[in-house]
Amino acid sequence: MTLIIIYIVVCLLIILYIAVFAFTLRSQSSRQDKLTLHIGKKLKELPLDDLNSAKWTQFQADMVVSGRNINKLHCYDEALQTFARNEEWAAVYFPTMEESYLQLARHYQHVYGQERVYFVHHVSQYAKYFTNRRLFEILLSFMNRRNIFEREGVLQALYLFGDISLIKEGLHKISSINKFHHSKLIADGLLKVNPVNDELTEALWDDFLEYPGSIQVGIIKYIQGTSGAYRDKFYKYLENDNGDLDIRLNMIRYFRKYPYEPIYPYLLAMLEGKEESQVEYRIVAAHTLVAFPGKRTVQALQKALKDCDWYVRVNASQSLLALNVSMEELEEVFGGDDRFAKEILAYHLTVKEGQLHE
Amino acid sequence: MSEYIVPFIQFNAVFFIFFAMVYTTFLFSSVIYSFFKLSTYYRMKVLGIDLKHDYYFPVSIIVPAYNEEITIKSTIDSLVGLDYRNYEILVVDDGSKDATSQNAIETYDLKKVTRPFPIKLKSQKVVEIYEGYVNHVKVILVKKENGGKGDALNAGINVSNFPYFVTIDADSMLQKDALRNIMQPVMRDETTIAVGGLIRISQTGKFVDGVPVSFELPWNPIVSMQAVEYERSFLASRIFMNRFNNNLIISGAFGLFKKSAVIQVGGYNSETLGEDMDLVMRLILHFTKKKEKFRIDYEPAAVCWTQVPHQFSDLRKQRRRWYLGLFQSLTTYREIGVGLKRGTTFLFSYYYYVFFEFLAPFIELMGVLNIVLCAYLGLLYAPYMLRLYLLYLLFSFIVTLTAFFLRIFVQNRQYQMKNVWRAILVILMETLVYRYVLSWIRITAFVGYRKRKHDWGIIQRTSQDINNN
Repeated sequence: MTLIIIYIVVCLLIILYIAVFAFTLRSQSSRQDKLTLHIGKKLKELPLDDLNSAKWTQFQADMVVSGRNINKLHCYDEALQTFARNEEWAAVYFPTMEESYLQLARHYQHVYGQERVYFVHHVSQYAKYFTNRRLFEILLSFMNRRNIFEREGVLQALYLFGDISLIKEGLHKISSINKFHHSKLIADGLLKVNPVNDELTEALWDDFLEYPGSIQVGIIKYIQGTSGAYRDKFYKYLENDNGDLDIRLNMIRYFRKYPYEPIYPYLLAMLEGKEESQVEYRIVAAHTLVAFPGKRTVQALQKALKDCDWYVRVNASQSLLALNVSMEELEEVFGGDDRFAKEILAYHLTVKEGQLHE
Repeated sequence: MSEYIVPFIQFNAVFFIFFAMVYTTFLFSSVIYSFFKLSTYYRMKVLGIDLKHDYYFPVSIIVPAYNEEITIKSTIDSLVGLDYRNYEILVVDDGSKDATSQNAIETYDLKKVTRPFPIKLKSQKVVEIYEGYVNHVKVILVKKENGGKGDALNAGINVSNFPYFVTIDADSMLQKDALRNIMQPVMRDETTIAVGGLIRISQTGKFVDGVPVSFELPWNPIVSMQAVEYERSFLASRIFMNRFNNNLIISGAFGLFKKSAVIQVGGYNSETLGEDMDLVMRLILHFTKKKEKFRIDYEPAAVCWTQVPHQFSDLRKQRRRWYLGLFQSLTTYREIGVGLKRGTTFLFSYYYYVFFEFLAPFIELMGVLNIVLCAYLGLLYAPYMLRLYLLYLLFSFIVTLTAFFLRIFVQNRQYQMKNVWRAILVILMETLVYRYVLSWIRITAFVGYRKRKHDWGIIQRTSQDINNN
């Protein structure tokens, strides 16, 4: 009984600690609101026409100190948001504050955890206003094996800063730590680089083979969204039968948006391939052939309506209708004996003719 | 004979105390761990640290429905306004005898279509399909012959268009950001094949435009005590188990699955009473044997609000079904417990469910019988036993109280003082009464059960609206 009582007392002490901790968290909220207002007032008083004034010096010094505390940094961020909406103001403010940010970044090189993640997140929001490369070089050093939020935050900062060599280095860093980073995040992020430029695309393509699969797919998706100048390069890559299936399929999809005549015979061959292992190619080929209108395409797609794989049929049906094939040509299918082919085509025709209104 | 009985009684007593200590220690540890984890987690949400993406994976939301004419409209209404770009809603009417389908068709102006679909999973015959758009979201109604919840889900998977699907109950409502949040684990880790969301009780929340604005325990003791139970369960064991990739259950009320993974294991089993746990265990076995890396995750920010039974008879039916489903899953997939070569990571959670969920009511009964036997044999020292029991009750009460209020603090929810007293009273009742009532329901679950596999059970529903409470 004594042991049990001791055990319960220990547990109660732990609960007491938690309760105090929880109350502390809650009581911070009202103090933080006051601090946010105070910082907002200070920001408003900063003279934009005299960047060397004492007010700026004091504010910069204060920011270096309070920015080391995550709660105060959060208050600063909240206060800043209202002012930073004014692009002209932001274009003056952030370059003037760069030295403070640099000092904070050096501080966070030796700090781990949520504080650093939040600092990266904060910088990434305003990265486009900074001019000093050194800040982002330090952020690159933060890229962490474990924390995906930190990795993504650093990448976001690099994308918005727009330095091509830094972006490349960031992607190489992810490759070197061998951690999964989703291709959608990569593609989405690269599309934020402003303005869209061929130099970035070329730089990414130059190192393409050095990146892991998920980054390669992200780059392909990015290229698909920005440039039609890679038809030849993708075609050459596809000529080589080796290579990751996901990468190859994404490259094939590229040709739907940017048709390239030399790939056409390969698409037809893919669609007409019979091996079970080729089903993904048939699916993508049926989807991509819509970019190559013509009688041969229509014939291949009509045949694909009878494919054993469901998704090949669906893509073939949608592609046929997107090609605005005449009803006479569709009659071949409707008059045939394949029930599934007729049904899928009839369904998509119904959707196309707008009987289901979005 | 007494040389056998006394050691037997002593063994039982020690075992019972040991069992109670282990369970309460686990619960306590997991509540403390979960508090810090959730604090960090919600702090990150407040700070805006997450994986932002404009277009996530397209998702099919599958809503199996049986006699849900009262709730189907509010469910669909909550689903068409989600903060997510690319998704569709599939309502699968599993041969309802009421106006579930008529209500959906008339309310949303759905049109009958002749729509072919691949039959990847076995299900009863699909009779009709209706489609339409609501707020640019495609809504599909699948009418089929009755086959049970698992069967309805399989039909929904067959008809769905997208590589991921979410299952929710027909009396449930998703918070606006639920879909975006439940996708986060998939964005973080490509090996994620399933994600469970957080289930909250809709009778405890007030909503404006799909966002909960306040939280209050209702006066109905059945509902209130379930609210306390859910808070403890989701705060504690789910988050704790997730830390070790040891979640064995994804609630059927709200879960995300990778369609290809579910098709590989043959979809939902319509013959079992616990189709959600059955599926997850089958996924675990399948991918472990294939030696393929996989993760089953839990996302506490992905919130689904569901109705719980507010009458005792309905609660009894529900808990009996859950308990029998648990029994079926644990026995069918005992391979997880006896050790797969690479499956040892799930040993902990498997035996947690065996001892602390399945066997617990019987162990408690054994404890009670032991006390009776002691009293009969004159071996009972009542004051000592009473002190021990009161200590145990007190500790259980404190742990539940801690779990309940920690959630409120972590989420920075406003909670009025009058509700605090109500909560304390409910937690006391939950500790003293509800828990033992549930144990009794579980113990008697095996008595006289011959549930028709296609019988969903009729549970009283009330209408609710997440957009305008």
